[in-house]
Amino acid sequence: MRLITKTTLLYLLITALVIASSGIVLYTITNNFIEKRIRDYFLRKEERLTGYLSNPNVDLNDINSYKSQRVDLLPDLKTPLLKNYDRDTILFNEMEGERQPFRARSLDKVVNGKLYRISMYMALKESRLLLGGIITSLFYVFLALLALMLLLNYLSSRYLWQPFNHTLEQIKHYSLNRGTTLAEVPTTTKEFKELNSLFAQMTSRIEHDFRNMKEFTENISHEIQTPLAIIKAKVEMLQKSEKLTSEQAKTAGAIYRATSHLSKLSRTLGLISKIENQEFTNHERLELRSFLEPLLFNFKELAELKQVKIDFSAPEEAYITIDPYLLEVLLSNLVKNALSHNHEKGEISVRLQPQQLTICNTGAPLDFPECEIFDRFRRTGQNASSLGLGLAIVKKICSLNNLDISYRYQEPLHCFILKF
Amino acid sequence: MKILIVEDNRELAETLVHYFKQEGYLCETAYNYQTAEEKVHLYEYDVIVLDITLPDGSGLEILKQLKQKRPDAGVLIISAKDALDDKLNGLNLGADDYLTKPFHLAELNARIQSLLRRKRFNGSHEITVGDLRLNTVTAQVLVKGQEIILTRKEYELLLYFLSNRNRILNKEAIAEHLWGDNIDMADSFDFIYTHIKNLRKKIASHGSTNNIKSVYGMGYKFVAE
Repeated sequence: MRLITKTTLLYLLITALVIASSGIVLYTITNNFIEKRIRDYFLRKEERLTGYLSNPNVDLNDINSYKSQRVDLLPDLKTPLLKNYDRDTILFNEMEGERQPFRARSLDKVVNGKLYRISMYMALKESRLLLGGIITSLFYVFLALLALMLLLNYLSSRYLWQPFNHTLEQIKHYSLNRGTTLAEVPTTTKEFKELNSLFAQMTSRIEHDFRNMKEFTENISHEIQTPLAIIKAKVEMLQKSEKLTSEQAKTAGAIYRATSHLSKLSRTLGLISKIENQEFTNHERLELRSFLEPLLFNFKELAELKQVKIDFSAPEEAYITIDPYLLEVLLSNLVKNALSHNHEKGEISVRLQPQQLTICNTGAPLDFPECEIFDRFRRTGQNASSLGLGLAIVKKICSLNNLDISYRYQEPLHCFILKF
Repeated sequence: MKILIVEDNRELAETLVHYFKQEGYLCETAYNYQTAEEKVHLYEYDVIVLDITLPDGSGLEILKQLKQKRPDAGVLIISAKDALDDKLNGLNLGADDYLTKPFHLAELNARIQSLLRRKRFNGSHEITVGDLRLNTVTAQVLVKGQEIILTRKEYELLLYFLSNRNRILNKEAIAEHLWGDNIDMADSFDFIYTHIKNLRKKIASHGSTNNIKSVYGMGYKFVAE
């Protein structure tokens, strides 16, 4: 639920409570006032009627000609029975020609030794209307407030909250390496000003850190590769020397191999951090078969030398959206893995389906838990020269591109399943 | 043959000079942007080996100037930067080749030779070593005048050997030359062995005396008689 809707609902709830309670108060006050007026009216009327009745030649018919009062002589009774008996009743109002609510009071009174029963009536229509009017007007006030709130809601989300929404939009589309500059929205709201400046500060800090890190990885790769180039060149020169004993030649060879390994390692780690820094964001919709075919062709020779049979089947077209370079790395790492962990006269099967690519290979069972297969530097004992980073790169590429990669061992096949 | 090596790391530059002198080339060095700029303007070189990250400027700037002055100059970039963008940038500016550090000297040599063959087309696209003749345009190999049929990898391997004849080539360099970065598995060396075995057989089948010798613990060497 949006904040503005929440505020509105809360505001309406409070308004409803306030209006209801003020309605109760108003009703009570008005009601008390009306009741008091009725009491006063009845008292005055009683006094007046008592005055009439004390007259020696009283004419009851004359008194009863008024619809609002009635006096009856009670000859059978000796003592007064009723004392201010009040009740609400519905009577026919001749003046207005309709039945209306009335308040009636009946009482017995002794005047000049005679017992009279006096009944007085008072129309309640006006006071009822007044009370109804109060409630109705309060209801209308509430409706007006509701409409006002909705209008306010609309206006504030349209104008007041616009800078906020704009900032949100910017955060949504913010990307570090695309170098998106933040377009400032002019706002006079203090909170949004603060938010914008904090956001700007934060992004500039992140960008600064990111640039530093990128520079660091670039530098480290550059600064390491140059000395490695020197070592390599020097060892190569050394190997050329005729005077080298076979023992020394072996040592030189070992230095050379270690140097090559180190250089590959730093290059591969550099690639991983480039992938992590999302430097490959060139998303394209690619047809997988046209990528796999030349790749498998490149590996064909290597596979033949190991007498590994590659079986490729792609009954349907399959598309994937990813950076082409990353796809190249991803696929070649998977195929390379399938080939290098294969045994002589083994098999590789590559099966392409519309939403899935399965690469299976024969090979010795893993000598470590299955779940560690994508970990960095996890490799089987026999393959010492492998960097142990290929599958880690595969995993990294997959997780950054929302692809699902899983491993399954189905005797005798190791299978990697890529879902896209 | 005159080569200019533009490389800020003196150690590496000197090693390269030492290597190319043995090859019979005339070598000059420039350790920074300014010297390189001067030399490029003053003298003519057959090949310029150019490092793009120099302390006082970018090698790409030198490349630009050079290409304006003499578009036919051969330039080989060596750089520790291996991003695809850097490579494309360099090649788009007119560089002939791009090699990332650290490289094998034999690889650098092979690339320079192939660059030179491409630059001066007057007959030098044929390499003759003893009774072996290799034509880099038609990719034909003749042994004592008779053609032998090689696979693509065998041809590349032979060309690599011919470019670096009488010099030990270690297995890593050969593997990387043949398969590039795709090859980082231990058994790739067995692949090399298989290729070399086949190549030897094909060359020897016509009674050639040139052959590839194994140097124990180090690699292979093409011995030209």
